[in-house]
Amino acid sequence: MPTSSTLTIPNTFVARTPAESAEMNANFAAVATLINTTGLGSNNIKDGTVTADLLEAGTIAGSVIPDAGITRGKLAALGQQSASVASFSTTSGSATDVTGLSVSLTTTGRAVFVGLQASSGSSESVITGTANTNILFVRGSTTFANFATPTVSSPGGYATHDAPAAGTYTYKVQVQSDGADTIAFTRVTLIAYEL
Amino acid sequence: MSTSSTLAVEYEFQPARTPRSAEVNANFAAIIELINTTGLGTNNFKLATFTSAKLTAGCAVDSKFQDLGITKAKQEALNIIYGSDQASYDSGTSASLADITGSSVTITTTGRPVVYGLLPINGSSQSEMTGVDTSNNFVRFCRDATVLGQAANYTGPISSLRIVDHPAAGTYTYNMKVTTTFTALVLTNFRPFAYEIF
Repeated sequence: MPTSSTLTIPNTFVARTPAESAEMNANFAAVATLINTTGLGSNNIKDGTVTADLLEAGTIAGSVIPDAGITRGKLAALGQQSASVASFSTTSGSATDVTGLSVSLTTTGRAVFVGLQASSGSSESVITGTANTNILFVRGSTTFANFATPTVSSPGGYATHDAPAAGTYTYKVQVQSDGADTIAFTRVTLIAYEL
Repeated sequence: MSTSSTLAVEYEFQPARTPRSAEVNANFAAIIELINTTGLGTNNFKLATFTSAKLTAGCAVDSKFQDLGITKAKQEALNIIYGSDQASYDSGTSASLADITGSSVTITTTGRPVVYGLLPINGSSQSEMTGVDTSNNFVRFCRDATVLGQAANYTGPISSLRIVDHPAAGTYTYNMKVTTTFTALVLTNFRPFAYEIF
């Protein structure tokens, strides 16, 4: 709640009436009281006055922030993006987008976590493949991770970090087979967020 | 945005001349106007006036921060360490513990939890872990001489090898060791990492 402080002087001088010294002193005393005792209020300082130059370097030190004082509510949202696929399979011998597993993420230049996980719900999430199938993580058109797949695996095992410059990127998941073996996703979620 | 505010009294009194009441009133009015209405500006304070001593310890409580105001850009860079890319590691078979070459990273922490593990190398080269899950084959996660945990050595994604540690602030070297009594553990195209959770 902003505070306000108002300077009020007690005496207004009248023409052709000699000013009494006591009246003059009282007026100056009112100014002194405001400055020295009452204190200035928020209304006495123009908005935007306290610039960085007026703050001593390091003023906002750890000592003025209570321990655990900055709650998560003050942190900008993580901005995590996720997308899910209920079921997908292919035997394609070329890199093929997994339908639905694509997210767009705007970053500030920090490392980005990209990974798979089980989709929400109580039904089983699983990835099945063979020694001839792969999972690819792709940013835009750049493949930045390539995982060989075992016969059966949990989606949560597939994760990596990407390190792009600040920008907005599309992350997606592709799979590739030898043209004969099947790789299948069941209830898999792609998640991406800045670390 | 910088603001300035100037007190300009309207009348300057001269020696041997009685000030007029209206002049005195006007000068006081100028002070009142500045204090009550215009407000003090940046120029009315000396640079670095607001020292830390002017702030009460603990005054920057949570409510003083804007919700969601601390963006990633305001946060210290992530304390993350990557080891170098490793093309391959083949343990061979051995009943004794052996270091996984290229799995170590050293990180200096402030006391927050640390995530340590392996990632695929950056790029399109295939990463892979092949092993066999038996009671005699396992991967051990270590922080210096402390054993953090032990995972089955099996065939799966490289990135499934990771663990969260809770050390006190300090400098630590993490690495992985392996025992492969019957079947070798083979890692292809991996890199270790460790970072403090922010």
